[in-house]
Amino acid sequence: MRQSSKRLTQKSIRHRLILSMGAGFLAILTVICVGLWGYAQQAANESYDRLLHGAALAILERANLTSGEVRVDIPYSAFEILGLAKQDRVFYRIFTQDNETITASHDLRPAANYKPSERPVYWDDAYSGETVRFMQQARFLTGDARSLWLIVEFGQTCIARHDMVADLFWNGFAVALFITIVGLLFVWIAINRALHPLIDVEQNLRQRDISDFTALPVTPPREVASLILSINGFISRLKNNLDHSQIFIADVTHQIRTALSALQGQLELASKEQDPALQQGRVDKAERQSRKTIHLTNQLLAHAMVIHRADQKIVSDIHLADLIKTVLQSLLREHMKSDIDFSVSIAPEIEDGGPDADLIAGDVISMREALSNVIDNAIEHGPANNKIDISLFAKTGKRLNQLILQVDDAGPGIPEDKRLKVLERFYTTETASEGSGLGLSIVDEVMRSHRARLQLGDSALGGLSVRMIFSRKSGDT
Amino acid sequence: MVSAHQKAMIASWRTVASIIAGLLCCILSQAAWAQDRTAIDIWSTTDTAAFESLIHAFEQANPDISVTYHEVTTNELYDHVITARERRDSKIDLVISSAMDLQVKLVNEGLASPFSADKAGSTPLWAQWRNELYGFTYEPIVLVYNKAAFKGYPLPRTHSDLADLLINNLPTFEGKVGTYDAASSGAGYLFFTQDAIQSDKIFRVIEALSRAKMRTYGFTSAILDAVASGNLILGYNVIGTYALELASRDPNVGIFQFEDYTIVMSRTAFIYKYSHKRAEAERFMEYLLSDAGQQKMAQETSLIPIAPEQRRLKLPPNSTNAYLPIKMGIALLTYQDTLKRRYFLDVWNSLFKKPETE
Amino acid sequence: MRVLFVEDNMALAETVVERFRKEGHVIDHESDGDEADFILRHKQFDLILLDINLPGRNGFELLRSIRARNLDTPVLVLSARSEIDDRVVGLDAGADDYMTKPFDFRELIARCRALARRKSGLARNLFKAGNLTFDWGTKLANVDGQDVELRNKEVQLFELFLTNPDRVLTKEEIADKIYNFDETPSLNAIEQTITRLRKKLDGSPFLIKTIRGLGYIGHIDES
Repeated sequence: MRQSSKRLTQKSIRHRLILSMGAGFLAILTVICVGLWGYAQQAANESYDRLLHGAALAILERANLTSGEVRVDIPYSAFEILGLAKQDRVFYRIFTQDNETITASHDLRPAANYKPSERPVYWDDAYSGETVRFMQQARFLTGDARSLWLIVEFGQTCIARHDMVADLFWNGFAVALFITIVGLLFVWIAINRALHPLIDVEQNLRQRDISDFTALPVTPPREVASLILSINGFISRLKNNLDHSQIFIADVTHQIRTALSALQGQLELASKEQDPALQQGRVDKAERQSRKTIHLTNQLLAHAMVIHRADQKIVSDIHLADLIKTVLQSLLREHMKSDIDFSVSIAPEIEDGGPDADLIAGDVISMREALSNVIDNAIEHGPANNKIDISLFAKTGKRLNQLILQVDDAGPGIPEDKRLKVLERFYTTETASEGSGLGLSIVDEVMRSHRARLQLGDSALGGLSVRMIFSRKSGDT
Repeated sequence: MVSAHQKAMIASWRTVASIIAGLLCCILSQAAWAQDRTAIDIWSTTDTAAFESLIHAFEQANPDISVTYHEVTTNELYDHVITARERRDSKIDLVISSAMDLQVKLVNEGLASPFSADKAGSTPLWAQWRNELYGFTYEPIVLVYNKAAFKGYPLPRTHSDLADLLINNLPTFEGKVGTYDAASSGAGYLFFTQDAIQSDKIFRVIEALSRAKMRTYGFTSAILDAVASGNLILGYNVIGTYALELASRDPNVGIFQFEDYTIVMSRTAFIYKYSHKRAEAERFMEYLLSDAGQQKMAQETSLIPIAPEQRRLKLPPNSTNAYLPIKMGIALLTYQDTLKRRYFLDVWNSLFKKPETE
Repeated sequence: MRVLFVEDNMALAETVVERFRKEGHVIDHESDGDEADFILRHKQFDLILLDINLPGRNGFELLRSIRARNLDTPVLVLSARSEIDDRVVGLDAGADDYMTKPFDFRELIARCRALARRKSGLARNLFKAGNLTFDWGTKLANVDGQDVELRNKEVQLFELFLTNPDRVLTKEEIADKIYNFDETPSLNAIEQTITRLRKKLDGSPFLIKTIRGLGYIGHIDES
């Protein structure tokens, strides 16, 4: 019991929903993080690249070419601008297009394949044990004697950039995480709201007395309402079933007790009878009653057996023609001396239709029981010179592939208005009959478990015609 | 990079420094437990006398560490540290200098090792850079004057007043004004370049100083001696710490601070990157910046500590509100640019050096 | 007839034993499978009546061990299990017939007689049932002491029914068995042969039941 409830919690809709929503949010969060990281890096680079650019421009503004000599008077503001990246080290070199250093803090390498232009170029490189962002900006200086490109190259360590990336990223991440948590919270609330009707149903069913078969109140939403309707349907079927079982038990009890009382009565009478001739009569009666009781018991057990086997869903291939043969063979042992005229007609389309022309899927033992009962029924209720005709034929069409097993007799038949009644348990057409009232009921059970149809009708022979309609099993599957 | 002149200087201070260091060692390692102690090497521009009691207090608090103190000039210090990398000389643990620009330059070279700002006590943010360089003093740059010789003149309140005073009384002040030689003294160079940044008026002052045939000196003590002896009437841009100490001893020496702005210099320290005794060096750094160290500095040295509580007690009584601390940062590299420095010193030499050599 | 009855229900055993003795048969009763197996190793029986649910070794196991020893004593299985599967298994395991409890005593004795006769008849080359005798060797049939003249095909047909009692034999099967390649088997001819055989043996316990469209069942009526 505990194990099953544990398995149930593992498969909880709520957990599944929250897990899948969580996974979804996590995926979104991951995407946001990746985007955020890229954005933060771009933003930090742009910001601090502007510092480098601004500082370079400030220096170049203070450069001139006087009588052929380059003069660069670095303004204090240039380094103050760079100082805005508070923790970063700075390297610089100012050189001409011919790579002649004018002034420098370090002997920096110029950018690869650099062609002087007004546009700044940036690149990252390792320098002095750190990742350094380099920038180069040129200005064309004109003088009297000559003109040239003057280039400022800056290198700046990346501490401020990294700090800004981390800042932007974690701030953005905090917002995204907050939204995720709030989102999941909403999801949780929504799931709980959505599942609330189910919890109501659960509580209702849990607290319900086992004898309470009232329907559950049907509440919206639609999805739950249909579930509740199904449960209500199940409850009413369960109630019907239980009612039937109770009636059945009562009926069985009644039948067996009655039969046994009769037997006991006959035996008592026999034992007290003084006259040997009369006593023999009593004993014979008792014996007859005993046979009836045995028959009743056998039928009850057969009935229970077919229902049990139907529940077990035992399925194998059944060749109906073979079934007819085996059933007749075992039945006729008891009726060898009777004048009943048996005939079997198997339609040519089955006779010549290959080995699987008479194949259905089902439980052989139940089917044997069913056919025996149909034939037995005909024998029991018919006259001594009864005619019993067993026929097997097929009905095929566009969407039709049926095998029909039909038993006709020349007995009294069953009036049309009682044909449904005889399928009920313990109903017999004769008041003082030998029958158990279970025969056709067993047949009905077997047909139902085989999804076959049972039709009772008038026979051309004058009696009852029992028709069992099966769907044929195609041999190649 | 290193000129022949500088090499000669290095050679000369080396002998001086090793003698001083030897003496210090004798003094400081009197205790028998000297053998168990780890020795750290501090290279500094600060007068040994001004630092001695601080080192002593540190050693008492940290019996497992002994300090070897090397006193050099600012430019010497810069050259020594920058060339130590190539010499693979790791007998440097802590570098202390009053030339903030040179310190910034050394740190920018990647020669410093990080020191957590959490241990930096109450050091203001402007006096920190990169978690590596920390300022630990707060020293106004002041005007020193000989009270007797200055008598009768109004004290200039601003830099313009000073220019006016000098121009209007050239005969009196000619040859009687002195300052650091910006070419040889790193601190002097820093103060003048900071002047240049702070105010356009400084060019009038410089012009006035030039016309007054200002004399230049390599050391603070030389300027102070000259003022005390009356050889100089005014000492311009002198580190206030030493001036204050002298003024407290010599009644004939006075100091004052300009009211338009007074530059404030901070001695800075960093742990040398290739130090083999980083843990011990860090402990000294921590002590230097700690409340205890700052208090000791305030009480037993002439230095003015940077901790706001402590420095207020030691600043001159006529303190102005115009203190302009030199902000540490990459901007200090501007005047360390070779070209920029050359331009500056060209002007400087044309103004002040020629009369000397004549 | 010497019968071994293996049954653990004493009430049932008592009635069966008494009934068999009254009929003049010798019957030994065993209630344990292992015991029964032991006895079968030392004594000869004409028939074994075997219950399936037994203490010790169950009926099927006992049956298998009997057949494994090439003992060809006929075995009639009695079973209270209503599922017919048991019967099939029983027959496959080597039983000659089965009956489901509760059974009719007359029916039981008739079946036993038929089984015993089949064996002893084959052994003695003589089939005997009620007023009917048939000599397998001379192919002579006798009803009520009167010889019945049987033609060749009638004899073959009679033998076929005697060796396949209570089994449906289709006309095709019969034709296969009693006609050779040279003869043209006519289903009509078979029908006529059967009608004749039935007529000649009228009044004897031998019966042939016709199932039109399917075939015939031969049966010895023991009552």
